Amino acid sequence: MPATTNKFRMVKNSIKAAAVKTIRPKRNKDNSTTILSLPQEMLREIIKEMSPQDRAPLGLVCRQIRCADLEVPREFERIDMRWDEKEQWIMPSKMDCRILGSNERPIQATPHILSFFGRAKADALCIMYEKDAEDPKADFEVITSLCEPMAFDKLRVRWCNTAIHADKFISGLLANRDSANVQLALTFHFARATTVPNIPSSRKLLMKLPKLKSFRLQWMGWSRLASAILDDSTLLHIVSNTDHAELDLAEFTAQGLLDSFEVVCKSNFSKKYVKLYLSKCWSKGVKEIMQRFQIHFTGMMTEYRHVDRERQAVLIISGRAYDDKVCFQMCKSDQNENATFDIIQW
Amino acid sequence: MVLITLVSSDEQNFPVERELLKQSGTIETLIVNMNLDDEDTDAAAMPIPLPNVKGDVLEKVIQWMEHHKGDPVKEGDNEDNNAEIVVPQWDDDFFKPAMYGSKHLELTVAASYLDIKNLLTLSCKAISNTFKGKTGPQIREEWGVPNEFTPEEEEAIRKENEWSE
Repeated sequence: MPATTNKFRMVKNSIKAAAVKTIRPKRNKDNSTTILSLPQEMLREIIKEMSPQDRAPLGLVCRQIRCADLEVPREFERIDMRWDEKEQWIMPSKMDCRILGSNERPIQATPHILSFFGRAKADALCIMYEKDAEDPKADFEVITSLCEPMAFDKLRVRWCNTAIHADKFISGLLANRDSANVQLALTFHFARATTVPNIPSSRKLLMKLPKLKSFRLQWMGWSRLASAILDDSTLLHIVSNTDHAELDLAEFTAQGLLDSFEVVCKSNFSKKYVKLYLSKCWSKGVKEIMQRFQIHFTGMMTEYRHVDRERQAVLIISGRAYDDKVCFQMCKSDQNENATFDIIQW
Repeated sequence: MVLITLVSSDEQNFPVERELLKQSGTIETLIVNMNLDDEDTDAAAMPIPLPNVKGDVLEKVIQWMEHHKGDPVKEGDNEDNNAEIVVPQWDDDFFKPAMYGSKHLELTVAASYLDIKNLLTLSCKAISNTFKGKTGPQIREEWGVPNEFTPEEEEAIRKENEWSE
């Protein structure tokens, strides 16, 4: 057999082999291809190119397109969820609509809603729980089940609640995902001056935080009482579990601060950074800390630096005589003792 | 200039410039694996059969590849997923006459079979553009999709979706 004929046969076989793996359309009776004869993979390719808003009517076209639509994850810049005393809503970005619920007709994790958000990807998932319910467990269960299949890089949670289930709520939101890649911003909102933070429950929440890419903690409202939440143990846990933490007012001791700084010194990550504050008026341990580090603030912004040259880390304490807040920054430094850290867009 | 002959499912021969075929992952792999671009090989004597592509569709594919000759070829799926794809005017005009018919769909299937990523992406995008701003029944009508939902099912889906419409 001539070599050319042999090779031709091989080409023919190769292209046939390739065809086996390829998508083949189903044909109509008249042998024409219609949109419904496209294989499901191709329908998914088509749907993938569409914005969530444009995809809204696809469910009503036919079963096949409805099915393909539910299979393709939706991508959003952000998904906002809000539960307050009067209403509940979920609003994905770039969609001129929201899922609405109320106390009488609460939002449920229906199969349709779960499919809609199933495997949805959002740059930021923002949850506001502004409801001082005595037992928010049922709400938390709905929210966590809705969020469970979603993928997100940033999680922003703000709540105005002193409930005991808060720790389970946050750990539920971070369960079954790679939390080490999540940027978490947590805000405790004390809507009224009379709101007393539930210190044990809030500390439990912080102590249960898993490894995080970065973490921001803020008190909104009556922050003096809230500062007690962030004590030596919680600070140490946070510093040990994230490489970038921006925290609010805290209540720690000089030893607690040094223990956390030790974690920063030991870290191999060259941009590890922790920032937090202390109130000169309200902090019980402030005197001890000022004495320990021999700090005397003047009217000008003054900065005290405690440097660990060997391990390239620096503790910076800054403030002014007439300002209540003293700022503490613990971070890695370069050879010139300059702080090295990234600025984070929350 | 090396010409390689493609043979459609209905036995039509299309001599195509070797350079153009670099856009098709399927054909390119075959040419490289079989040494079809070896200067000593009589490439014309070894036509490549494409049993899944009809002649009229293959002709359109070649026309598209000729226009896009020299364009960078997409590799893998690692492109920026967030970047919105815009169908260029030439491609829009190219797809339009056959849109809503089987010809455009067959072209899309051929793009997938021949692994021409740019053509597949643009072609899918052109189809998805026709869905924009339309209601479910409008899409059904334009694409000749029969309504397979019962009135009760349609009502239930409408209710489920009413928040997002």
